Amino acid sequence: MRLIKPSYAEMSDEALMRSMSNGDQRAFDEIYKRYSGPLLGYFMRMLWRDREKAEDFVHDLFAKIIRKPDYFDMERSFKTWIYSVANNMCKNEYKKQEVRKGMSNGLVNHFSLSDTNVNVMGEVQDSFFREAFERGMQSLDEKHKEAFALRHVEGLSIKEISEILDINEGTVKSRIFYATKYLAEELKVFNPVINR
Amino acid sequence: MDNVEEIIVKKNYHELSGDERELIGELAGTEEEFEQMKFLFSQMEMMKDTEVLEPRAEIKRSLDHLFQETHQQKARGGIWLNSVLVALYPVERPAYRRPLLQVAAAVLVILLIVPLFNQRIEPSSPAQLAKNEMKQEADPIMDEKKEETSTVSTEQLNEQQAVAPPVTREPVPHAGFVRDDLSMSSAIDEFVSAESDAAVGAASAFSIVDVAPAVASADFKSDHPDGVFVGDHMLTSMSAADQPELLDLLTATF
Repeated sequence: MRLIKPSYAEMSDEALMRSMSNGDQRAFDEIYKRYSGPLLGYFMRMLWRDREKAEDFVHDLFAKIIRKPDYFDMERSFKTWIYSVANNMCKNEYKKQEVRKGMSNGLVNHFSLSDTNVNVMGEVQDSFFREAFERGMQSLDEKHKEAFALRHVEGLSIKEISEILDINEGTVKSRIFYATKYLAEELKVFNPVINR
Repeated sequence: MDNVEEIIVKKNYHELSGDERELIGELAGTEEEFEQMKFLFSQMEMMKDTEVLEPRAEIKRSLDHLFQETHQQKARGGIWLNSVLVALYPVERPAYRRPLLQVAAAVLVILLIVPLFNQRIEPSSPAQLAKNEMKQEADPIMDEKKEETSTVSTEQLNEQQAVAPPVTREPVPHAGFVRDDLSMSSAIDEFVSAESDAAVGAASAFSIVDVAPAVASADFKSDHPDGVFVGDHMLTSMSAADQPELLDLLTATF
């Protein structure tokens, strides 16, 4: 038993949220440490590999948590909750993009952004596979992309994904199945076993 | 779904059982599809391992500033909150694991136990006596029987006393007289001879009753319960060993 101070690394997400809502800065630091990276990756995949936009979304999401920690229901899983908030933010962004697309005579802004970012960011240039994978992800429609990203990139369970997306587990499996089949077909050229 | 992915990642196509092939059939019906899936999953695992993204440090600083502003009042007391209060009363733990409650429980137990050690333990016999008395009161039949018994025993004792000669009241002459009065010398001689006769004759036959008339005739009187003569005539006492009947009377008296 620790009498001096609790170990924040050992605390659950939900316990950290409780401490954070009471003004515990170190609890917030721990939550940020746990989720800032994965959320940045999630936003990048969902927002056309736009790192700047993804970082803005990360900032906005944590700002919401700081201002309104009471929005989190302590009975729920924090991981599920934070990804559902992130997913809703992405959906709102898609809607905004749809409106812009309608106003810009069919020009697809985000694809150009995505392509630019892919070229600018050096982190994916050394891997053709990664580029192809990201392109394949971007070419998926939103509902398949989010299900696949949550399952195979963020590593969430089918049940957690169904809670985040607010759909039943069968639908989640169906979407993941479709996305997996699609990406496997898109990326088969990189498979040395098949191309022998 | 989890099982399907696990099978694809961990096994080769030719290792699959019939059930497993049926299970993954929808996702990977042929060997080529199976290899595609396997390759995709393995590559994604590698990407997860290598791709570690971190937001810029400015974002964290901005959020810290926002946090300080939002919890300004609480942050002022942050030292206490983090170091003492959180340590003593961590709300994220169950109640029984909070140090403050543990200490409070220990103090409570000590406060309850210490007076028990200081308390004087009363002997149990008075309480038992009281219980017996209560029983006696509660049982009138037993009371009557007891009264009868005690009455009977008292009467018997009185009868015995009546039968028995007033030995203690009547002095028993003894050879060890100390007396100035020379007029009693003849009586003494008589007594001594009588005593010696009785001792020689038969010990069972000897009794104080036999001796008493002789003593009475000698006018030896004493009011002392032990048979001590105090007065003008004689100051003497008798050994109880010489007269065991006296001991019986003493026992009845006490």
